[in-house]
Amino acid sequence: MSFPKVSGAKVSGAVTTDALGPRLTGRWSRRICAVVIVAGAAAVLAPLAWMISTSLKPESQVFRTPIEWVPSTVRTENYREAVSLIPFWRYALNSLVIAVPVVIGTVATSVAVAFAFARMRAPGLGWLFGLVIAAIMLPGEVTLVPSFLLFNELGWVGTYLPLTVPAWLGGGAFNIFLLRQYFLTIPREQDELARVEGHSHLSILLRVIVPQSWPAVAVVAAFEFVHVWNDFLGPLLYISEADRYTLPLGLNFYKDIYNTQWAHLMAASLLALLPCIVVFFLAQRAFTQGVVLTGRR
Amino acid sequence: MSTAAAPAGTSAGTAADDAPPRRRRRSRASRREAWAAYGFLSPWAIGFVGLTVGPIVASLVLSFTDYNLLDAGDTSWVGTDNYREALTEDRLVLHSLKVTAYYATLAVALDLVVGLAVALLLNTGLRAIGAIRTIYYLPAAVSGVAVSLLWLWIFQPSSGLANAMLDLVGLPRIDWVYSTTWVIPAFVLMSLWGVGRSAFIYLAILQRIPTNLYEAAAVDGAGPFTRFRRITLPLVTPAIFLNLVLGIISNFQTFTQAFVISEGGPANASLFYTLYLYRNAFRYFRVGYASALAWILFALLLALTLVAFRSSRRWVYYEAGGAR
Amino acid sequence: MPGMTRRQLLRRGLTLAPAMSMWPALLAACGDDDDGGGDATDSQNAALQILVGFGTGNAPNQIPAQEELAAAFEEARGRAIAFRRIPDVDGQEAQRQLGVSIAAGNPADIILPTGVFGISLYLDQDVWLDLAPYLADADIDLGLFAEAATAAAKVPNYFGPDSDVIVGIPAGLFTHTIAYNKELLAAAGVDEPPHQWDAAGWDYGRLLEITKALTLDSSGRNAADAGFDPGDIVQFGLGHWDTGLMALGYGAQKYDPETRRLLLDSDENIEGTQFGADLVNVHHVLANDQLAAGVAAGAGDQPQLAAWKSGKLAIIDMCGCDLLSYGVDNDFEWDVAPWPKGPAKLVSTLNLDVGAVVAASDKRDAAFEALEFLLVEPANARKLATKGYGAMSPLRSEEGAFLTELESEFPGIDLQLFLDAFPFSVNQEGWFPAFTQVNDAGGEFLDPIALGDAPAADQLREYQRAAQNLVDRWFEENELPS
Repeated sequence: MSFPKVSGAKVSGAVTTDALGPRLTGRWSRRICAVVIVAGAAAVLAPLAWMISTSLKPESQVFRTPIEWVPSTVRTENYREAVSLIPFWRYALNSLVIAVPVVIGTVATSVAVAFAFARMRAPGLGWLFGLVIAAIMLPGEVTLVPSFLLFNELGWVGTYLPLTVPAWLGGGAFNIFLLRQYFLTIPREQDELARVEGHSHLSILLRVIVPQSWPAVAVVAAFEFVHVWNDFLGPLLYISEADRYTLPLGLNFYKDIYNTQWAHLMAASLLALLPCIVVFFLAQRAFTQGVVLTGRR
Repeated sequence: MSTAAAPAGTSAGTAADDAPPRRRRRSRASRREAWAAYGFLSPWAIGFVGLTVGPIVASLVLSFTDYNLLDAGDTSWVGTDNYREALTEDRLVLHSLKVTAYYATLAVALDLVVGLAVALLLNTGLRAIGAIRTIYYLPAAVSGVAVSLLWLWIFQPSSGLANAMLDLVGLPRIDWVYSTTWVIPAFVLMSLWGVGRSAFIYLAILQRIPTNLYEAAAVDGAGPFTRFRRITLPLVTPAIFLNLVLGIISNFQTFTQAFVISEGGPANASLFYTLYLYRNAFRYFRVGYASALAWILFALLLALTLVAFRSSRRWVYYEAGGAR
Repeated sequence: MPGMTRRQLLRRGLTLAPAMSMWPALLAACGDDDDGGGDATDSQNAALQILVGFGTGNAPNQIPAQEELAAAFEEARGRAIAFRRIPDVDGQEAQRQLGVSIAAGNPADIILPTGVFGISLYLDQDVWLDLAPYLADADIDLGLFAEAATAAAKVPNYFGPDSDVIVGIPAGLFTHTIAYNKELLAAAGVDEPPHQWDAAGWDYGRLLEITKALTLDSSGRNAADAGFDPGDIVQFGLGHWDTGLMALGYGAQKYDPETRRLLLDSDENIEGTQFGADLVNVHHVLANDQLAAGVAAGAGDQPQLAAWKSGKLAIIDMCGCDLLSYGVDNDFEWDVAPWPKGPAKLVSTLNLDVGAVVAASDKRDAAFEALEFLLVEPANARKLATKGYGAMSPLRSEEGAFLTELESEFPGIDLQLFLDAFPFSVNQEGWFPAFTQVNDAGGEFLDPIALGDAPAADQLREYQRAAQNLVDRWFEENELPS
């Protein structure tokens, strides 16, 4: 009874539990299901495929009807031009400068806090965890403006600090919840062994828990990366100089400059999404396990 | 095993921690442990007090003033004026609540139905399930401005993918985000693109339903729909509940898409609540008023969540034995 | 359990990583502090910040002139000018940033250029510095500028009609004429409009007449013929037209400072707005963006421009600012003409850009000096206006510059009409209470009129109700400086 049962193990086609009952798993109904699923998958892919297709067309052909999926003229210069029409790499670097500390901070703090909730005993811990749950349900709007005022008082408006420091102060309520649930499923024998050997709590955390939690940690890190990379409202409020914009801010204003050249815009957007897609594929196995495990949105 | 099935409200895990203490007075070891625990919790505690509790209290206080961002020195107490204005005089408050509620309801309902449907279909056992799963899950990896721009492009009336698809099946073209009727459905469609997230949660649960349940039911003469209604659905209800609550909360906070794609238009048809709040705080600089708006939303969501929890007793089925 | 070395490394890595990753954040944060607003002790030599982006000023052809003049200022007066450029085209982001930066205490010193609209947005928040004392000290007579320009910059609705307060120095002026495609007119047998303002017989009625004759369907019938097919129009008599402005010719006014009432539901406004909407929906002579996209070859993102260039629009509104887009590279003969007279009066719009100083700036004297250099010295002002913004210089002495600079680029076009427009041009962006909110609320009420979905009378009455509410509340929370 080590890790919780995860769909990944079962889904490889071996067991067929048809919610509609075994009677309906005839070849034809299965075929229909397969067709519908594949059609659905095509529908899901269509927007991305369209994005790629548009990004490779010359601007004059972008509006052609009926639509062409495969561009008749492929124009890879769009990419080169897209990244020079706005300071694309500058913005990407800014996004990275924010993303790295946030991901590391989130992982570090949420792991530590979740560990305390999962493995340690102290008076009031239950209540505090209840607060964590409550915080998950708090709408962001309530803290939006006063946070701004607070950061204003501190003189942090116009810097990246309001965007990076909070990640180190609690790592996100949902991440804490997720990690705690995961930690609870790790058997305690190794903990106890280490404790008997005299290791400190921190040491147990780092040597025993974390190494066994890579799926959950990877999920937290990957989700946090995607979230902070694509964050819009935060940078919108706190970044005031155009050359300090993050990629989402830059893209938003790009859509107005020079009369929306859609092919270039799609090229730039695709490039902006690439890191997320890469992170997604890297963490994919852990991703879906993690989602299945906890329903992370 | 704790999975998504447990609704957010139960602290199923903490129960395990509270083993009865062996001695009545706390040992030094357990005191040390307590301090260590607080130590581990300290960053979160600082964050919680400074960035959550502090701002919450501040925003409550501000909501009773006429604080203006550019004129802070001139602030005065106005009591419940902001709330009165918001609920009785400012038509855009109710309007944006309606817009947001319309969106959230549609998005959550469709996400549920489509997500469950996809999960059911996937549950029939397919080859290449890994690849399919990757594809359905891909939209979850991308979000934000870039995605909004992509959909803005897709929804272009004259040359976008959406209308091209309509043309393909012979349906009339729609103005999508440029039409007051279709702008919210367009946003819902956009959010439906990410249905893979919920689908896989449901799938995980579906796969853990033992086949012998179905076999037994089939032997008893239950048809496929009865099996679905009596076996599948009840067992999925915890996940449905979780998605419902979290879905409502997060959909009520929609901001980026509205800001990037439609800026609340056309004619305020897509004026989401958060967008209107943002406008009041950062365009009209009426911070006091915006704080009141935030609290109105908070109260509303709290009420909805309580209603959801209350009603859950009747329809959410926990494996631990009957409805709670 | 795996060996100690890995664990040790891991532990070390985990402790170093936070430190390493805070570094770029710190770097960035420190970087911002340096670039940020001047600090009081440093303001002696700190660069002046000019925020550009309140609607214009960031196009590539505008930037060189601005940079040149900034360099000239530095050389002449020893203080650098730095431009903070906000790329957003409709100005909203620049506006938002101004507000936020003032609250944060590090605003730009100068906003240049900003339309009167931008000034109005922040007027009652005391954002702009009153320049009257500075102008008096520098012995600058406002008579140097065209009357219309200084009138708008004094914002009479707020400061009162007799006040001397002035919140911006005029930087550029745009008047409007109409432009027409000579070939299309000739083909339809329509006489060209007169070439002098306030000519007899050139009014809204005549405009409607000729645009009907100029709107053709695919079988060659025009909009006045029986059997004309509005679903199949291949050429429009009118395009690139702000129907909201038609109400001006009926004598409509937005706000009456005496009664503190908006006049959105006045008969004049209703009639005029309805007339404008009818041009699209009833007479079918005016192409809105969607219709223009339908007739233009290669619509793209500027359907009106594309339609005009492909010769599908016979008459358009031509602002001085449009000359560089609608006026160049046309492969047909065209010219400009005055606006037609409305039932009550002849009114054309005036757009005014000014340079303003942010009151919260800590370098106000230097900022005024810069504005003086850029906007009052004739040679600089002219260059900035015509080359920097594509506008007419508001200095009376430089009025002719518009003609001389542009004559060569637009041979045969009657540019004099832009100058003759002044007596009939009124700025429409003047402040009134709750300016931002009333304007934001407008779209919801006005769009259905433009689309023909609802009559102007009903919509404007609703708009008046909602907007007057906002105005009344403004007076509850604020006061006019008497």
